Amino acid sequence: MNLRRRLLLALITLLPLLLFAAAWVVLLFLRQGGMTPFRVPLNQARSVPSDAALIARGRRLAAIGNCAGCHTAYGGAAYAGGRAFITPYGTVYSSNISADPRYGIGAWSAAEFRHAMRHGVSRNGVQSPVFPYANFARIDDEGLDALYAFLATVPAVATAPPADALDFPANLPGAMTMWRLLYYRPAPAVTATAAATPQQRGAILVEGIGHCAACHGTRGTFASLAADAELGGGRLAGWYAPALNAQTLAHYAPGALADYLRGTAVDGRGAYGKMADVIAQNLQHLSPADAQDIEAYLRTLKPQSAARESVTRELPAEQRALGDHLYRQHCAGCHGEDGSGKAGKYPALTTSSAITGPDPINAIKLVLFGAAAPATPQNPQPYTMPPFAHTLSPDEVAALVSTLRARWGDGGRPVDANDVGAWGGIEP
Amino acid sequence: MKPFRLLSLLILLFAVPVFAAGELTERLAACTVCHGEHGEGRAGAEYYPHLAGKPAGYLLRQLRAFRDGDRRYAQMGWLMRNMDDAYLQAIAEHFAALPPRPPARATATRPPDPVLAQRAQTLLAKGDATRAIPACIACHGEQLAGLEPAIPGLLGLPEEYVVAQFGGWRAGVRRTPAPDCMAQIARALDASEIRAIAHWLSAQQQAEPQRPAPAGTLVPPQACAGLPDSAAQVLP
Ligand code: HEC
Ligand code: HEC
Ligand code: HEC
Ligand code: HEC
Ligand code: HEC
Repeated sequence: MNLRRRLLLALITLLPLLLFAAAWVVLLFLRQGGMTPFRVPLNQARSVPSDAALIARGRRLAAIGNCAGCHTAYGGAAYAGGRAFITPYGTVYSSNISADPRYGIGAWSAAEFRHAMRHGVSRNGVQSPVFPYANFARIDDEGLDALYAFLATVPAVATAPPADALDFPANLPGAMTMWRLLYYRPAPAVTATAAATPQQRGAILVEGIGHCAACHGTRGTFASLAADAELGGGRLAGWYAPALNAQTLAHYAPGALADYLRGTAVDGRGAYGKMADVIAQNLQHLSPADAQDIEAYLRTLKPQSAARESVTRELPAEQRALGDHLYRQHCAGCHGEDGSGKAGKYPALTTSSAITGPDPINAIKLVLFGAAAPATPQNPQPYTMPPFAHTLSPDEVAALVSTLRARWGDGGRPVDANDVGAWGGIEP
Repeated sequence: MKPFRLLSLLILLFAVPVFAAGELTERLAACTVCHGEHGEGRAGAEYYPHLAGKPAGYLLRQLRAFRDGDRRYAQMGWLMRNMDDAYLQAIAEHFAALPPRPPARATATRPPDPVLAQRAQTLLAKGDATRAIPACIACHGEQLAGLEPAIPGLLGLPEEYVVAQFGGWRAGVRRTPAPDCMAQIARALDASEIRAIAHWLSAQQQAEPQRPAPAGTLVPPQACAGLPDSAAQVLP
């Protein structure tokens, strides 16, 4: 009797909680798009458009969207997938999207392809957010059909990529659906707009096929990323992608930003790290007009209120002396005593986001491993920066980087040898 | 006046290629810290190979292999990853055209073991027919100076470097277009033989720097890396 009463009491007190939880789940479910994402259009006939102009547009979009870059393993067949992405929740391998009917997408209908690009869900289940479908959802129907038509011309490769190796709890069944509930918020779909202003056209390229926010946006818990993530700067595997806005890009003269995106070394400043890959694989294929539209859009963005580490510790004098000495010995020959660079050859460091930006990781990597801007028609024989990993000790690298960041940036927290060890590493 | 003009024209004519080479040297500053300012290798470095004077076809193949993952060395792959074939071709020709380095320094650090040195020399000059290992000189040339356009010279390479290359072929991380003769040879040799060869090669002093033999002066005994071989020779 007593026990039954108690159970009843417990139920009555818990009921509102349970109801609340259920309502919350329903709300989350609705906010990630409701049932629509899970209704994959499976049984539609495959008919591939053979219109040459459409295929050409698809090829261009694929180049800007870096489909091949992400869907090709180092040294592997194009579009056969298998490139590994190290994420906070385990390793994800990209899918085979060649025209193979069994292992690739060669049996998909146009509707299923559109659905996968818009919602990240296909016959193979809910896809991981490494696939930037939040951005690709912003491509109009004709653009997706163009991609579809182009991918059907990609030689079939009959191999399956390795299975994802996810950590707990991402390896549990339904984890990707759970992730969607918690973090995925689709942006409003775009209907084909003959966008009016350059800024609007630029916005569509940046937010859609260009997926710039995949790196330049800040990711939240479990690599969550809203489609409307602002370009406030972000850390991705081993690199920092700086904030993109009118203020951070002020050091590019009008027109120079568009040139940079198409692979010019502007006053010696080419891209390095992941941005070099992006330009080599995608952005060098931008038309001059598209690049100018992107520039116009980026210059309209306002800086976000900087949530910077305000605890600027003073750099000890002997560190500073060591840093100054190392700079004169190893760097000044190319970048100049005053850090102003050598026009046309070596970039200025005084305006480099690696030095003035909030994150020291790019500067550490550059000093350790050197750099080469991508070779493009705009910059066919780039200058190269030597690596110093075997000449400078971690302590010396730390002193050098901290000194330069204090001299030309606002310094932030000085780095030490442990940071250098933890952040140093290059991936194929 | 005239002779002067002629002279300045001549100077210009010769100056242009020299300037171009100098310019590429400046662009390739990253390479010089490991491979030496003129691709001559680095004194005292036990690992970094020299590049100067090696056949251009060979160098191009290596640069592409680092970029495409057919040969692995993280820092090489890092610098190559966004270079296109045209730049790599220019780089290969640049280093191939530099004078072969001054007489190879012997890089060996310890005196050779006479028995092993003998074994190495036999393999290099005669191979081992019982294990189907061809003589190294059949491809790399009587003087081991290499053969245009794509077989490198071997004398004076650092010992650890040569051992690592054989390790790469055996493990499949250094690959050449099929038939990959060096991988076959590497798998047929045993570890002590590889060590002996590497040590012997690193211990050789060259009196004169040598250029690879001109293309066609030597016909490799077997198909290898897509190069012409004796079986493929068709008599006119
Ligand atoms: C940042 C890297 C990245 C880019 C860029 C990218 N993808 Fe992917 N894509 C992935 C990954 C990783 C997966 C697999 C996700 C998983 O396994 O959960 C994937 C999955 C897919 C799928 C789903 C496959 C399936 O079996 O469900 C399709 C379709 C696809 N990508 C097409 C494209 C196209 C088309 C482009 C270019 C417009 C593109 N991707 C660009 C990383 C990328
Ligand atoms: C041989 C010339 C050379 C030397 C020496 C050199 N650099 Fe560089 N550096 C370059 C080149 C070329 C680039 C451009 C690389 C690119 O575009 O990918 C560069 C880029 C950089 C950048 C990124 C600038 C940007 O684009 O935002 C930083 C930071 C940097 N170097 C720091 C250093 C430091 C610190 C040293 C000394 C340890 C050094 N460099 C020594 C040639 C040099
Ligand atoms: C794969 C990640 C990635 C993607 C995708 C990406 N970037 Fe970047 N980007 C970076 C990193 C890392 C850097 C810092 C290295 C550098 O400056 O070269 C960078 C640097 C830049 C810079 C130079 C900033 C400066 O301070 O000089 C610009 C401009 C830029 N990105 C624009 C874009 C645009 C526009 C897009 C989309 C079309 C884009 N990026 C997509 C990673 C990325
Ligand atoms: C950090 C040192 C380092 C730098 C910088 C470097 N290399 Fe190398 N390079 C090496 C090492 C080590 C090897 C041998 C790798 C192996 O184990 O296979 C090598 C191998 C090579 C080879 C093949 C040589 C042969 O005989 O097979 C070529 C060609 C080459 N490098 C060219 C370059 C060029 C061009 C650059 C500049 C863009 C460059 N390297 C920069 C260290 C370096
Ligand atoms: C059938 C022809 C052939 C024979 C026989 C041969 N090689 Fe080679 N070797 C090659 C070719 C071709 C290459 C260039 C491979 C490449 O492009 O990566 C090469 C490359 C090498 C290299 C790499 C040099 C460098 O700078 O990285 C070494 C070391 C080498 N061979 C040693 C040997 C030795 C030792 C033998 C005898 C046991 C031998 N080779 C027999 C054809 C041959």
